[in-house]
Amino acid sequence: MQTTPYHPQMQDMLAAVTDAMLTGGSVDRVLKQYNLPRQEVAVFLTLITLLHRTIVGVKPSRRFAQRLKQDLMGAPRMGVIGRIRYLPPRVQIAAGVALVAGFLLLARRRLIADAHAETVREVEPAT
Amino acid sequence: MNTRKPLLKRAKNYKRLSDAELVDLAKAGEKPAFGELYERYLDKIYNYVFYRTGNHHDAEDLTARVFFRAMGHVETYTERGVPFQAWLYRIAHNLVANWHRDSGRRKIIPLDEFVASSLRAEAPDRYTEDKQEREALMTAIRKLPEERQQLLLLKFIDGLSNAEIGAIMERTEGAIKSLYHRTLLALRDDLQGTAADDASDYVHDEASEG
Repeated sequence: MQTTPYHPQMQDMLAAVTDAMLTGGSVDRVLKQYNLPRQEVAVFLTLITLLHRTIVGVKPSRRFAQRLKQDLMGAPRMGVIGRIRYLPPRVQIAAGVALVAGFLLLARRRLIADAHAETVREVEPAT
Repeated sequence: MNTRKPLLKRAKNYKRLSDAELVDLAKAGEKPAFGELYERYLDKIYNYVFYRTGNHHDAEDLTARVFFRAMGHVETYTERGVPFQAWLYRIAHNLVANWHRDSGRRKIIPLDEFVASSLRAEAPDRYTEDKQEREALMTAIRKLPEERQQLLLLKFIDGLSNAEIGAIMERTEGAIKSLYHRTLLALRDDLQGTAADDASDYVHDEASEG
């Protein structure tokens, strides 16, 4: 990594330029305050501009924001149901399918056990 | 001196209260006070988590956990030089770190969602060029150590000052300035390397075609 003898001044300039860019201030005015090599400054300016254009804010959906606020204001702490509500839909679906499958498996075992018991009861008098 | 009573009298005008005053009210059990803090910081925390996870589903899940944890522990929070905002970010940071630790594969974050959201307002003719440029930048950001990524998000997404970032990351303002400089140098070197690689690929392709 290339180092320059202008470190402290460069650090101050980069911080000030970024702040000016983010707050809509004058970048030129900031640059005039520092006596730094133009070529080096230009590379950083391009990079900061690209960062500013690339890392942009996103907004949470209104539905999510409202629901979370209602939950926060209504519930003292998030229980299992609350946590499930914030899981991605695909996970919710998978959990639902697993729950139904588990229920069916239990019911099936119960039916088989009942049928087996019935058979045993029918066979026992004969022996 | 007990300041709680006058605060409670003013409680209905939550928007005018400072974070510290709202925290006092929340500690006293005033849920709407916490609701105001939620309104103030939802977008910031959501943005932070979104950029660290890469998708809206996990961002919603983790954001909800941040606020539930904050509400559950607000009684234990004492300012002592750490503003409420910094405390909230630390909770988010810890939850995101746990989320990354839980599953290694989650570290592979798709770029499309970030780049698409930042390109929506661009003219179509610049779309391809910009997309490549921004994807290269996002790739370079991903390669940075975690604390440098955090610094960029706090600066560019939340627009926090170096002093505020310092409070969150437990560093001095000077240290943040220095870290920012080193982060930009690393990005510059990475991108110049990428550009050089692209150029050499191009020359190689041209030569093999010729």
